[in-house]
Amino acid sequence: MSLLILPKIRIMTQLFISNLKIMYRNRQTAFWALFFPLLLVTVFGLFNMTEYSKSKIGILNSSEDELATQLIDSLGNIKGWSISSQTDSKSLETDLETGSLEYGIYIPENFSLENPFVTVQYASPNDTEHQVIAATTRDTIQQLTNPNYVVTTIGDSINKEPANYFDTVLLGIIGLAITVNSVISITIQLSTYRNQNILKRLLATPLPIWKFFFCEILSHLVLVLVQTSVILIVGCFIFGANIYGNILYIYVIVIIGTIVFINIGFILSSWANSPAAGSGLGNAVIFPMIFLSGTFFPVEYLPWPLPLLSAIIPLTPMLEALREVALSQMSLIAIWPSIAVLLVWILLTGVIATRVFKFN
Amino acid sequence: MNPVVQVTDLNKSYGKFLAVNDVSFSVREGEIFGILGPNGAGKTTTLEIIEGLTSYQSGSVTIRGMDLKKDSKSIKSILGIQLQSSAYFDYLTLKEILTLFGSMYKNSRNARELLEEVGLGEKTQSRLKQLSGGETHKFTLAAALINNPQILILDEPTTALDPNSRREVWSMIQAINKKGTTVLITTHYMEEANTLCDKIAIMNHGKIITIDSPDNLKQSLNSTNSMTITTLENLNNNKLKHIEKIDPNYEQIEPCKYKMQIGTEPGNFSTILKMLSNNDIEPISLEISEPTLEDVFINFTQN
Repeated sequence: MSLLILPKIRIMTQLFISNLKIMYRNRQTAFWALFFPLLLVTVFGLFNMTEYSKSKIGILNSSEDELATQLIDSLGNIKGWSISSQTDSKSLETDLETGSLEYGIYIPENFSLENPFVTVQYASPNDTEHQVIAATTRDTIQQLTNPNYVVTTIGDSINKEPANYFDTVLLGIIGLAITVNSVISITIQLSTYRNQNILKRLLATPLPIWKFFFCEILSHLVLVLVQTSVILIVGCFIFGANIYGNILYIYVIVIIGTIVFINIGFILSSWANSPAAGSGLGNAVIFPMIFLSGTFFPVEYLPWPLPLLSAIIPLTPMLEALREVALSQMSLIAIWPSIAVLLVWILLTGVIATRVFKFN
Repeated sequence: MNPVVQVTDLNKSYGKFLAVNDVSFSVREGEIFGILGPNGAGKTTTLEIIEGLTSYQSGSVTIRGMDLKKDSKSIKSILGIQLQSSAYFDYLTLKEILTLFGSMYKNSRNARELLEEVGLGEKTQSRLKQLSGGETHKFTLAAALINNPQILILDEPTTALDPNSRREVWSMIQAINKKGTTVLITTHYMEEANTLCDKIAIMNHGKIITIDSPDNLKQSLNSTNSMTITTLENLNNNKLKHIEKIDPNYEQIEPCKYKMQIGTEPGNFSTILKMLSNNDIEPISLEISEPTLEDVFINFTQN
């Protein structure tokens, strides 16, 4: 039995090692595979994105009550809020209209223990954030007016560490690196092999075709895992990004997501007549995907119907899964809907790839 | 003896274009079988069908009694294939490429030994792009031999090579064949077909027009050897009558230059020389030409 298996292992090992050698020796590809994501990590790491990502809130205080002063102090201590005091309603309105402020909190003249009501005005399009701002303001007032008032939050988020913009975007950069490496490099590589008749020459051997695909996927996975590790190391240890969840879960999601994008690379390479066409086709597919999936900014900011489109592209569930695992400390079981969507994508793209892939 | 390769009524079309039209031929053990034809004749398509790289609409291909459609994997393991234009992985050395391809077969040869055999022993660590045209052809031939094939299929193996490299490749093919490997080759070089092949199929417009040995093909033209004599001055009518006796259809192709057909039977030549001498016809130069494979090729493909 083992004698029968040995030659099969020999083919797979040789193919896998050869692919790794090709990737290692093709220094330009390896360089760009790492350089571009690291450049983004550096750019986002150097910018003070945490400050930039804070909610900008202007407070107009018309009350002379001590409670109003306490409220402003308490709101000023909230992480993720950038508070500025306004002197008159006109300038507050102007700042909201011009976008230099996202929210305005009006403390009325009669604000007191007996009348603890404020008005919150929104200039941001983010519905979720509106609710958070309103609820946090209400809770802060209730804590001040009723010392026994307890803020309750739901389940998982009780002990949640605060994630900043860079933490979020670092995982987006991992997604971007995987997508670019898998889709574009596979598309270019396979269309080059096809143009040079290398695929045809392989087809002339008794090599079962699935072994060729399997080893291509395997060697690209190695590159992607190296990429992910380098991005995480640079992001966390040099630029201070936070990963709160289980690091192994991140790698599991990366592997699942990579298989989807490699399959997409196989499909695109079938339609690309030349490596140049492959590059163009790959870019045309991945760049809209990167912007639609929330790589750099929340999907909620997209105008309708783009959020719907975002929901059906494979990078979205992958990034959601990465962020839920890494930042919200969720388990793989807890994020099963995202993983299920990715598995469906693997199945779908795998079937299409085997149907449309051309050796000649 | 059963043929090693048997192609029967093979048809392949691309839309309305019939690339291979009812092609049938058989290749015997140990033979070098050539398919000769102009560009676009269907030679490569026929080979690629035999190699299992291209599908076909009807007909059958059997190799060592195995049906191509049923035993494709077994057939591929006994074929050595050199494609018309094929590159190999840019970032692997010659030895690594051969080792990789060797791993795809149950029985494979040692990469280093094979490279030494084709004269590339010094280049085991080189990459393909560092080789000359001739060396590249030798390497692709080595790659075709990695599985110690029973049948070697070569598609225009010397295209774009200089005459010296071409002759080197011919010697290698002849040496491989002497060891017992059957060779199936396509070419559009007459000299190559004439030098290498035991049997030639002439193919044009997807059809095989004729199949025979190079000598038989030349004889099939019904052409004879021709003799061209050059004299010091134009022959007078009296002397021309003697020329007419040799060949009633003689031609004066230039002033003082006469061409006549002298047949192919042994002894003709000396008889004719005596006749010329007895009649005071003394050529200052004399040229004998045999029919060439090119004459055969042009005759068949133009008709």
